[in-house]
Amino acid sequence: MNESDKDFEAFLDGKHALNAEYRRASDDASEPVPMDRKRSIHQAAAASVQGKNLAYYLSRFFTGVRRHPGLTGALLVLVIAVPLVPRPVDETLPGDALESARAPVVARLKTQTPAMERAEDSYAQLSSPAPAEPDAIAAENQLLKMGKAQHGKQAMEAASAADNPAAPHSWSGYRRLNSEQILAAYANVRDDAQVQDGQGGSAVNHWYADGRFTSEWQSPAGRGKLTGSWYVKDNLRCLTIKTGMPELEGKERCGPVYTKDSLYYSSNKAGSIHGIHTLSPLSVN
Amino acid sequence: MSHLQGASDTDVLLAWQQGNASAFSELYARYEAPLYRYFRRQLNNPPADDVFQELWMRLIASARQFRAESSLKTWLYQIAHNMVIDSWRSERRHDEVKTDTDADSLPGSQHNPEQLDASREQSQALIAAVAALPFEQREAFVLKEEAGFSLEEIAQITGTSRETVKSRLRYAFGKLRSQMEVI
Repeated sequence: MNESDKDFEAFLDGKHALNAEYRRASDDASEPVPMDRKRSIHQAAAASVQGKNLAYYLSRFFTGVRRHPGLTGALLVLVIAVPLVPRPVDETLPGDALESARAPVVARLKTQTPAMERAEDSYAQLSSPAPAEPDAIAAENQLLKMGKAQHGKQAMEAASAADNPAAPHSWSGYRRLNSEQILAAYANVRDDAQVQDGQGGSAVNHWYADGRFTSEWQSPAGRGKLTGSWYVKDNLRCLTIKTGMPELEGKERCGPVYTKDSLYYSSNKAGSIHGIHTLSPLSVN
Repeated sequence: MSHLQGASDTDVLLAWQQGNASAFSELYARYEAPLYRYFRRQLNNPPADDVFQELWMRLIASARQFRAESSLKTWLYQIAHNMVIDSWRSERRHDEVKTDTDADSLPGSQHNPEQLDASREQSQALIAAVAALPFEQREAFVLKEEAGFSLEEIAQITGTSRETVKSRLRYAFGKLRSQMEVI
């Protein structure tokens, strides 16, 4: 602890009485959150939980599988047995026509097997972060395969997503900034950024109105500092790194900027989210 | 829900991200009072109520995007800080509060002389004194005393340096001390 810190600690030590008095006063003066506000907040939270995605339902399904293996076995029997039950022949389609309608679907499923296995991994990652016993994992994979056979369209969509992991983000509901708006938003601001692609990480960036920027970043790969310049062009925010990343120094990189709910979003080349940015005034002291 | 009460903020948020509705209730319970007080100390009503509700709406909308490597508490207060600034800008009250000496109009102060005894008057006076601090000093003080943030965390939230935070706190405490001595 340096002298400045010691002095400050000593300064604060002399303020205990004032601190205690303030906390008492704050408790006395505090008012509860109005009930209508509280209700609105909880209703919104409940609605967001109800709007779950496929990952959530898969997660819940496989949790049930692990907890009720007997029931799962019974369901498996049903799922396996039902397709084997002879079905009434579709009299509208002759046998050859039925077979020729099936053939391309079967062929497509066979050629997309590697992608399906990658999709399988994606589903497994989405299902639950907790490690599962080997038997349960095997059961999950078996069910996934059964599910794909039964739901070819879903499987093909999953395979497509697995082949293109940086699928574009849906920017519906976001507002894209034009050049003027980018300049206004980024002039003299501190940018607390959460990186969403690659290995993730975070950064604290300073964007100056005179066109300079600095960045202190950290990720699982390490940490570092960058400097450079930024500007706008064709409704894109561009930057050129001057120091800190030799492989990118001097190269112009441009991208669109979106905003929603007072947060700002940068996009990578694939159109998915690169960073989520919280901007605040840059104090110059 | 009881198994979440001792869990870290990150674990509670992750539980909510995975669809556990009661996890949100736990998160809300933890931060309702301190965040509401933060807004009430920084803004008048009704803007404080509006901004408080809006903060939770934003959290609900963007919870899936929160990365566990960051501190949820710091993240929340960073958003809260930005919202206070936005509210100041839209209402253009920043300079008015610095010079306004009418305690009834200051954020966080409610003054009813007919009903106050001496100790409550002292408490109200202290709250009013905090409300009369310049915005940056008041914010540093509230973040330290109400939310319990460290100097580094306050610096991160407010986009300043640790030394600047220390300076603001020194001024804040100094002014409060001198005002309370007068009262």
